[in-house]
This record gives sequence, C-alpha cells and structure tokens, in this order.
Amino acid sequence: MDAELLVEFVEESREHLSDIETQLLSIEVMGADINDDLVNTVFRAIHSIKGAAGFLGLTEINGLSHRLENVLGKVRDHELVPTPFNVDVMLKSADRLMQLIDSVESSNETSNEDLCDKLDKVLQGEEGGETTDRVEETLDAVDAAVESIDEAPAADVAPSEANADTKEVAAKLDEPAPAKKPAAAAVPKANDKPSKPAGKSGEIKGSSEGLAIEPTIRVNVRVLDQLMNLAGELVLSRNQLLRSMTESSSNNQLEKIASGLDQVTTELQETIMQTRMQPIGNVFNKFPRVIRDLSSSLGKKISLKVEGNEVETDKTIVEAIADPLTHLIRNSCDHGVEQPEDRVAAGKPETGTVHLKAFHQAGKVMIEIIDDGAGMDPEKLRNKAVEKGVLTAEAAAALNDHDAVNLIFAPGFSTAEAITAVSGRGVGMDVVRTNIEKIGGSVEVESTLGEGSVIRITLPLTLAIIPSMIVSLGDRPFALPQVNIVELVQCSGSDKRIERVNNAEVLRLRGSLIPLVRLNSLLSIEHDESKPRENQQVIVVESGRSVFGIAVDRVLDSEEIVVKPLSKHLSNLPLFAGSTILGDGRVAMILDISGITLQGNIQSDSDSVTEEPADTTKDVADLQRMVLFSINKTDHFGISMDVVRRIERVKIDEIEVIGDRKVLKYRGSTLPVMRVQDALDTADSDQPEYIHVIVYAVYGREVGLVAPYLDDITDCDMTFSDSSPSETGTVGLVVIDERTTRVLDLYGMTESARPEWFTRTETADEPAEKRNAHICVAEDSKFFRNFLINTLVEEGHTVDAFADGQLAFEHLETTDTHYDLILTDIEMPNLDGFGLTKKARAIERYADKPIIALTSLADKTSMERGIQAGVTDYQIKMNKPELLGAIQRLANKKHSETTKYTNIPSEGDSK
Amino acid sequence: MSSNVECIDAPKIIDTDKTQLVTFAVGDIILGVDIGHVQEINRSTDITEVPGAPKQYHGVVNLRGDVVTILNPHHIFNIPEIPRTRTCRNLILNLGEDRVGVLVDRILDILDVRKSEFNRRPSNVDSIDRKYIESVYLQDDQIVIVVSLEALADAHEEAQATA
Repeated sequence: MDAELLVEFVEESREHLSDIETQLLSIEVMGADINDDLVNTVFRAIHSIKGAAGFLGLTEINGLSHRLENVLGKVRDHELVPTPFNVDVMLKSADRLMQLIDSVESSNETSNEDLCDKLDKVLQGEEGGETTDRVEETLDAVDAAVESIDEAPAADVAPSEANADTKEVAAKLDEPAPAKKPAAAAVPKANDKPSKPAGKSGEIKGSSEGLAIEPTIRVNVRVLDQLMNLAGELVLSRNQLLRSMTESSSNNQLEKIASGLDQVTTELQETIMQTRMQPIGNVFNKFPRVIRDLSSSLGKKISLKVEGNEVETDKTIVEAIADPLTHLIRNSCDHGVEQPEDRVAAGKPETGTVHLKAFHQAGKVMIEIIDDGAGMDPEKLRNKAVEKGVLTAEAAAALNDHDAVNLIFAPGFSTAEAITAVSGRGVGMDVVRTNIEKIGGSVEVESTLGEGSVIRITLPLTLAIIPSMIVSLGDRPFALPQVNIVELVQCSGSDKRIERVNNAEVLRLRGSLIPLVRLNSLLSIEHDESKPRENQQVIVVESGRSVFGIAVDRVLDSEEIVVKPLSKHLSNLPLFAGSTILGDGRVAMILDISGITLQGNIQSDSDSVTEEPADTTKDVADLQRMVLFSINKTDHFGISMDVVRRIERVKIDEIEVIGDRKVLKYRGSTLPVMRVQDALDTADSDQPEYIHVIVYAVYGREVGLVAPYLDDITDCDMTFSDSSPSETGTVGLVVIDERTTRVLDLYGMTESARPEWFTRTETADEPAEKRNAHICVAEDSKFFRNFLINTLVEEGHTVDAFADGQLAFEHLETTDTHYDLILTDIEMPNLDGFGLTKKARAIERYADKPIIALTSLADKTSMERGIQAGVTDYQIKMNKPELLGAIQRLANKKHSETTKYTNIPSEGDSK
Repeated sequence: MSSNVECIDAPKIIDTDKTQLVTFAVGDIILGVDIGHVQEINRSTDITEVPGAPKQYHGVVNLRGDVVTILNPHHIFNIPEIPRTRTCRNLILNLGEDRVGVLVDRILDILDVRKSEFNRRPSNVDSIDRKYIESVYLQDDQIVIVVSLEALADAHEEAQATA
C-alpha cells in the first residue's frame, strides 16, 4: 500500500467525517422534510470514502461505508424517512468509520458485521413495508416522529428503561412492515422547498450552508507555529532597529522605512495570530450528539440550545476546552436536569434545557452552560464538604452560598448520591478546574435551588501571548503571568512588614499574614542578601486557594510575552511553566505559580495562615468601606463611606474665608467647610492647587470636609485596629497600607469644631428628656462594637454587647435582664441581624421592643427584609447623632407604636 | 587544522561510505559527531540558566526565536570544567525531533572520513564513559572519539528521571 496515498486518504476521510455528525443530527431533526443538499453532502462524503477505501484495499472501511451509502441513498431518494432510530444506526456507523480510519493499518482485521447487519436491516426494513399508521406518523415532522417511538413500543413491551425505546423500535423495524408508497408520499412535500425551509430545520440548514462558503486551504500546524516564531523574531529585530534608530542621529529616509517596517511587522504578527484562531463551534458541534445520547441513557428529556458558535479563540484553547466542557455538560445533564416526572411535579416543562453560550467580554472569551434543572443546595454542599473532610465545620459554616456552591470544584468532592456511568467519580470537577486554569482560564458556578445553575468559564483569547510581569533576581529575568498576580508590594522601611513566624518569613499586609518565599531560596540560587530589606519588593500571587508573596530583587516591567515551549528535557521542571524571549533577546523562564505552590511547603503551612485572613476578610468581615485621605505626608485619615454623601474636587481658591468661617461657593449656594486641623492636632496641612471636599450631612445640613489628598476608597480590614478613642473626633487608629490612619468620628469632630450646628438639634428634635436605656448590642466587628459601647455609655446608657447574633440571642433567651432596646448589625456570622430580630421577636418580652438595625446596606430590599423580620428602625453605623436620636426616640416606645422609618442618609428628616 | 568554523557546507560528493566529522574539544579530549546531525555552530553563549535543572544542562539559549536546551558536556563526560573562553561555541545538534546545543570549548575541524576507518569502541580508550563512545577515529596521532548521539540523548532521559 502506498503510504503517502494512505495518509492522504486518512486526512481526507477525517475531514469528511468531521462534520457528518452534525449533519446527520440535522437530518434527523428534519425528519421527512429533508434538505436534499445536506443529504447529498453526507452521501458524497461517504461515497468518496467508500471509493478510496476500495481502491486502497481497505475492505472493512469499504464494506461499512458502502452500506451506509446505501442507506443514505435511500434517504436522498426520499424512500427512507430519517427517524431517530435510523439516524442512530447511521451515527454509530460514522463513529465506527472514524475509529477504523484512525487505526487504518489494522482496519482490515476488525469485524463490523454487527453494524453492517443493522444498516442492511434499516435498508430492508423500509423496503419491506410497515404498518400504515406508523408510516403516517413518520410523515409528520420531528416531534411526531419522536412520539411514534414512544407510542409504538408501548403495545409490545413496557418501557421500563430509557434505552428500551430504541431497542423496541428496532424490533418493530424487523417486522416486515413499511409500505413503500406512503413513504414516497413525502416526496412532493420535500421536493419543492430547498428555498423554503420550515421551522427549526430551516435554521440548521441555513447555518450549515453558511459554513461551507469561505474558501480555505489546509496548512500544517507546524508551519503556522514556525511562522509565528519568525514573526516574533521579526518583532524583536524591529524593536532593536527602532531602539538604535532613536539612539543614533536621525535620518529621515531611514526613519520612514523603519516605521513602515514597524507597521507591516505588527500587522503580520496579528494576521499570523489569526491563523491560529478557530471558531469555538468546532467543539460545540459535538454536544448535540452528547446531549442526545445522554438524554436517552439517563431517561431524561433534554434539549440543547447553542449560541456563539462563531466566537473564535486560539486553536490550543479550543482543543483544550473540549474535555472540560464535555464533563460540565454531562454534569449539567446528570445532576442538573431532573427526571421528566420531577420536572412536571415542580411545574417546569417536561423537557429540560441546557443552554450553551459563547461570547466575547472584555477581551476574554466567556462560555456559559446554563441549565434549568434542580440547582444546587448550598447547605447540602456544606455538609458534604465537612463529611468528606474538605473543610472543617466552622469553615464550611462561614462560607457564603456562592462559595459553598463553588465547593463542587474542590478536590475530592462529588455530590452524586450514586455513582452513575455518566458522572460522579468526584475527581471530575476538580480536574475540570485544573484543566481550565492550566490554559489561563477560570470557572465558577452560580446556582439557584430549584431554578437551575450557570457554569461560567472565562478563557483568554490566545494562549500564545500572556501578559506578564518581568521580575529579576540579580541579573536574571523571570516572567510571572499576570493572572496569578494579586498585587505588587514595596515593603516600606518605616514599617517592618516582613516578619518571622516560626522560622518562616511572612508578609504583614493590611493586617493579614501572608507566607513569603524568596525567589532565590525557592530556586536555590546563591544570592547576595546585602540588599536592604526595607525596600524589598514582594509580589503577592495566588493559585487556587493559596495566596503567598514572592520576594524578588526588582520588578522590571510588564510585557506581553510569547510562550516558547521548553525542550522535553527541561519541560517537567515543576517551578517553570515554560520560557519566553524578552525584548532584548534574552531568554526568561516563566514561573509556574501552581508548581511553586506545590513545591514549597507553602501549601502546608500557608493553609493555616492564608486561609484565616482570607476567611476573615471575605466572610467574617471586619471590613468597612473607607474614604482615605491625607492632609500632608504624615497625617492620614479615614472616614466610613456610610456617612459620605459625595466627594467634590475643587480648586483650593474656591474656598472663601468669611470671618472665621470657610465656605465653598458651590452649585449656586454655599457649603460650609471645615478642616481636620480645626478639630484635631495635626501637622500643617499641605495646600495643593486642587483639593477634595468630602460632603456629609449633620442633621440634614450639608457640610464639607477638606481633604487635600484623596488616597483611596477601599474596603479596609478593621481587625487590627485600636478603637479606644484617644482624641475627641476620632474613633480610633487603624493601619491601612502601612500607614497609621486616624478613623474620624465625623460627627464628634464636627461637634467639637462647630458646636453651634448641634445645639439647635436639641431643641429641634423630639422632646429631649434624656432617658437612659438598657441596650443590647450585637455587632461582630470589634471596632464598631467598641465604638458603639463608647458612644452609648457616654450618653448614659447601659450596654451589653455581643460578638454575633447567636451569642446575643442566647443571652436574650436566658437572662433576666430586660433590655429597653436591641441594636443589631446586619451582616454577622452564625446568626445575622435579620435572624436575630426574628428570633428575638419570638421571645415574648421582646416581641414588642424596639429593634434598631445598623447597616450600610441602605437598599430597599434589605430594608423590606428587615421590616418583615420585625426591625423597628434602620440607622447607619457611623451616623452618631442620628443613631443617638433614634435611641432616645424609641427607647421607651413599643415596636408596634412606631411606624416611622427614619433612615438613610436622611433627606431632610429629623428636622 | 583550522578552527572557528562558523558555517558548514553540505558535503558535495555523494559516497555512501564517505562522511564528514565535526570535531571539537571538551577539556583536552577531542570528540566528533557526524555532520549530518549538526544543524549549526554559533557563538550564542549567552545562556540563561534554569534553576533546579539537572547539572547535565547549562541552561537555554534563544536560537532565532526557539528556546534550545544547552548540554554541559563536561558534566556528562565527567571532564573537569574549565572557565569559558572566547573559543567556546554552541554546537546545535538535531537529536531526533529535538534540537539541543552542546557548549564545547573549541570547534576544531571538519574531517572527510570513511566510515570504514572507524574503529568500534576500542577497549583502550577510557577517557570518557564508554557508553558515550560510538567509535573512534585515528587522525594522524590523535584519537577522535565519535560520540554516540543515542547515548547523549539517553543522558538527558536519565537526567529527566532524576530531575
């Protein structure tokens, strides 16, 4: 056998077979209403395989394709209506052909009698004639055809198994039944309409025709890769040329040529990149079949909607995503979509839908798998995680629902009650995540119990180019992929931020301890340690669930690097993901963060260190959104965002001094402004040209605070703060971004500077007969707890404070103390504010006591939830005067007597 | 003997017995490889070290956009290393599908030889491990050891296993 011919045959046949599955499925959907062109395409494909196989002496391939061709010929001649059963046999034959062609050398030793027989039966079955009622039914469109299968066997055997229906139809077809004539009756209907397709089948036809138009040429991938390489080199040479051009004296002519070269090179590179792009449809195309097979083997009814076939991404990604996607789709069918009877019972349509969607978003490719199935129960997942030892009970309880649902991607996790053939081995989702992360993507799931789940995959457009940070150790450059980078940290000298804990170095960063590795010790490179530690540059990276810092000498640049594979001898080094060639021609190794995580003892001892801060910041949340500003290099301040109405940027000379007052002319009126130094001890404030004014309200009156430098608005961790007020006007100290920051008590500060603004409130507000109340406070943040205690005690109230809703409730339930009022935070671990309210209302003596919820969630839904739970009033945490006013007002009232909600940020209330 | 051969012309005469040997020095040992396996010889000795890689490797270089692994022949053949000099060259070899470089101390010559003149592994040559010796060739009074590229390839298989 001529080897070259054989190779050509294999390549050609693969091409023929690559689309056949989709085409057959389209044919199946069309039923009697077939598209002649489409059938012809399939027919011709099989015909050429048959011919070439015969010529090459591949008897088995020849025999099988011959029989398949016969069947297709019949379909083409409208003598055989493609039913799910027929198409099933055809699909199986196409599969077998593919297998045979894949191992073409040994194809003649295989036996394909079984399939040939089946094909023959399909052929003869229709020739022999069938009962008229069945034929009539098949004349109807797809749905009817499907029904006929369901109905027909009912008479013969009870359809106990989902698989049974195909078998039974097979039995049916074995009977000499179908009449030739009624089948032929379908002919006129189908003949007059390649141009007038009806319904569903029309769409499919349209797309399959559309795909065939663009002329293409097959190019060996190696050639493309080589082109890509050369283009990369050209870019490099261009860069060098341009650099030396700028250095040397200018020569107009030469510059023109260089810039022309520059443009062409860029375009060339982009075009070559495009040759590697493939439509994601190449992968999506196989899913109709997957779903079809799955629904029958699972006994479910599932329809697949596909969107975004045309979205293109790098060939490598398209290939790499196929397996994870298949797994996810299988999971959606197996665990997601319910059995038809369950669906009907839940009031959903019998047929479940899996929606597969690809689209571009922010320079990335997104794939969503949406099912309308049962969804996932976060509680069940939490329990499972504990049971499987993936998490401790406390950690599981602390997870929010979103994180709990995403536990399915944790190693060693499977919720399938029984292991089915389709899924449930518990390694799958973990591997799916790993594989997706390997190609620089990410995956997450969102689920609503009873309504379905959305699995969202984010993929990079191309693998070949990775945005990276170039760092150096001595004079060696290393590349670190941006995806892994959380932030860059420059350790400042004033703050000892690299510390030693148990002989290991850690980075103290905003109150969390992050394990630290030094790149030189990681790579066992001898290295000069004389560099002062203060200016140590640290890159905080994350991989999976671990976060750690890597200490490097210098962060050089961020660069889009082209990944060059390492030769096989070096490719399995765990610390490197590959190599790249930098702009100056040097080779830099790409650090593999997941490899480093596994390598070092980072994983083992970081789990205890990193997970804690990660959990506290995320879930146990002593987080407070703060506006950070400074007035000079040394005095830094923070204000709780909750009390800020807005921030304005103005020129400093727009602030006028009238008497001893400062006002800002602003929107046609004037805004009284004050400075921090009016109330607090500070160094002199800088006077930059532009300043910011933080606008807040005191009893409905707007006041501005001058903030010369606005640093940031960010969620700050208040865990490591000191909230014993040392100075009037401040709530305490907190270290944010290595700066000691004074958290301002805006109201206290305003009051001490402008007492006159507060005096009128005494008279304006409700009768100020001070009444000292006994108050129960539930607040998880130590910082705010202390703030509340101090504030309330100062006002003469008696306070008992608890760290979460559960503790407060237990106390309420057991103690004899009768509190006049309950003050509760909303976001708390164990039992949140709503839960506490509900439970407290169930205790008789608190059924009608006022309960004030403290919030930064000023939105309507949470307020409604609060009202339902039985909250009397909402107040903003840091708005001291409002809060104290509300306590005064409500302390001796009953919950049922108060209907007025004074709240959020109080447009003109309490006037 | 000429040195500093930067470019190699393909052999012009077709003779199945005739072949050409590229000879080079590693330490004080003279080695040779069949020219058919040599892709090029270059001066790109700006080698990027690969931390954690086995000692058989110097590291990698940029060969016109490809990253190519460079072997350390001193370590593989157990020859004492000498400081790199200006005569150092990278001998880029095609080993099957792979390309690897060998950082040699000096390129010596290209010899026209007859395969029949090769002696198979004489027992009296023990300057390097015998598994790397395919045969030897006597050039005047000097012994040229023809390196077994299979063994060289195996050297990194082993290195990989121990990596």
